[in-house]
Amino acid sequence: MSKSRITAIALSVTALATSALSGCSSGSDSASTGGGSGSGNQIVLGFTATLTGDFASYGVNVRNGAQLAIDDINRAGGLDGKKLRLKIEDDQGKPSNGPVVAQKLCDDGSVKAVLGYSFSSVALASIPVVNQCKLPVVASSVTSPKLSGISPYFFRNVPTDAAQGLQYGDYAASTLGLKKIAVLYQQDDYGSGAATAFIKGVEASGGEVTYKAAYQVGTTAFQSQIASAMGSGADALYVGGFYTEAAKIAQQARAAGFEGQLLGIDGSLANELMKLGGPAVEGMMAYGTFVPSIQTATVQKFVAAYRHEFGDEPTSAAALGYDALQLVARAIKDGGDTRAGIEAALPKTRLTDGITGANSFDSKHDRIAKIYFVKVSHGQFIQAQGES
Amino acid sequence: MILSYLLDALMLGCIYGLTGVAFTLVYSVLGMVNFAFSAIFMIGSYVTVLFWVDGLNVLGHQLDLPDLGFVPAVAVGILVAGIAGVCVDRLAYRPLRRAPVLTLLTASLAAQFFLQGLGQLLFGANQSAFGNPVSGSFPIGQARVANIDLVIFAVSAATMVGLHLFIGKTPLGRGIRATAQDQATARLMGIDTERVIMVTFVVASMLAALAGILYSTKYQFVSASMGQIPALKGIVAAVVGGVGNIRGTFVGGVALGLVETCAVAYMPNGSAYQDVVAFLVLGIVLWVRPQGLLGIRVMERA
Repeated sequence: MSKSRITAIALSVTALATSALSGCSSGSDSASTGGGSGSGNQIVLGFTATLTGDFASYGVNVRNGAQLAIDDINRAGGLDGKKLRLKIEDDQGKPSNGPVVAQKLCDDGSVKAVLGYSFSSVALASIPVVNQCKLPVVASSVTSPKLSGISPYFFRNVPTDAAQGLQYGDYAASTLGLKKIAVLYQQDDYGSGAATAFIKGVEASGGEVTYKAAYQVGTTAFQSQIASAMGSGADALYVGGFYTEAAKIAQQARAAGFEGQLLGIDGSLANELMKLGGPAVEGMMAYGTFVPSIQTATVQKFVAAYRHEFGDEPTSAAALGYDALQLVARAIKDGGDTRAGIEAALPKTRLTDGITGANSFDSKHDRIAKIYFVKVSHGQFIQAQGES
Repeated sequence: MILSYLLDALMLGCIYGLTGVAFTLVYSVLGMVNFAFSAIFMIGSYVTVLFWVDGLNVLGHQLDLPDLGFVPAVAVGILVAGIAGVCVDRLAYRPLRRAPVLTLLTASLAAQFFLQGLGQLLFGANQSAFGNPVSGSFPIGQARVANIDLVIFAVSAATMVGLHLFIGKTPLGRGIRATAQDQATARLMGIDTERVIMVTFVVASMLAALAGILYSTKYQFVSASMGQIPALKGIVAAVVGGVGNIRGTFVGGVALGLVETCAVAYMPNGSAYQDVVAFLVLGIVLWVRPQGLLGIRVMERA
């Protein structure tokens, strides 16, 4: 264990060095506005996320999604004739940068609202600054429960792990009729948070958890856990973790003769699951806020535009970034292009035709979301029947 | 259920045992822990995949090598790993033969990270699929025995018998034993100890690679860091069984497999802490029996 930690430290040192070299470029395109507020025919929105280093992919994806939404809006004539523009900052994933970046955006009077945020810790650190200057934030990639209802100015359109887990548990027990479920989960905040909510959902819908065990990320041998799970009489096996371990659990469960339903979570919603798991993951379920293969016109239009613009498949972070920007645009339409106007409009703002389904906020400013349930069929994720 | 646990324990134990024996062999002749085995562990698996399954990207490009079939690909993998082990010795350890053991240890850590980094550079940091050459299972009572588990038992047992005969009956094996007992005296008696060390590295690296390939076959993946935990467990097996004692090390590996499986099966939430349990056992054994379970005398090292 200690050696992998040394590797991680070595990697992060390299990453820091790289980001120190390249980090300056991201802020430069915003320099043109200077301090001037109320620039006549454009509305500036701030964007901060981790855009360099090992964990850059979430932030970059959210930014790409938001940029795509801006392009769509501007192409259609902007908001009341005003074009939208992003002022982009890189928080480098460091909580200490949270307040600094927030202050910078606060001080720029032209910035009306802020999007982004890759890490809950960075978002938490910037809350006091945001409160002080009454700057509304719509975050797209932070799921910590600590952020629920933390500030009148903080909103997020990514559903929390707990909300998703609860829906999944209800779906498994009610819609799929799975009443005896064995639960394996990753031993960290993500895995145990998802599993705890799932179990709550299952039990509320009359199901029963027959076996429960945690494992460390990087575990490969699950035969004994699977034997215990099968011995407990489970007719379904839930895996609350990443696709690497989910693929191994599926393979070993099938080899041990387990024939029940396999239930993965959003950490398993990746094509790598099928690459690693092969035929063993056929029929396995998972969920997510966004599934590129879902055949609705809005989703397919977004997928095509994203591919064309960035030459890559959009992730759920990209879809949430797109929807977050559309939410803010709608709030500007309803409340006007001032910080106070956006803040007043956001709690009632609702996006019915989002890429990630309907977007709206509950009283704690968390996303009210319906998640998509998917299933592996012929080596591809398809939407499962009976979506809640 | 008990049968399932037992099979799992034995299968894990065989892999830990084989890895541990690699460490024990090199320890006997050089008195050092060769951490590079943690990387050698994955070399055999990657080479096997290159010569067997399609679809592995090298430096981002698909490399189409001839498909040799599984068993020949494994043979090539083990061979390449043996050569890699000798190269590590020649380049990293041989210039340091008279240096303190701590220096050698540092060099071996460097070799491990170098090889692992090279693996990541060539094949990426993600896990890749290994394929499933030995699928299928059959029922015994309520449990199902996977064919691959039987293959792991058979291959491990055959390898251990072969190694026993090699060390005990051949002139090279005698050379290894002599070098293990006293390198200076062995050299004075006309034994080419450098050659003995080379042979030891070949054999030990091949054992580590074999363990890695069995591991990949069982768990159907390869990755640059796949050897880290099994190698640490191999070191624990060697220490628990008695470092320098081949049979003891293998027994130590099987014992470790049993303890871990018991932790998962019978300890509340034990599966989250199976690695902790493994190292706890190491601590207890070192405290109660510092020479290891089967380690009897310092002289009887190989």
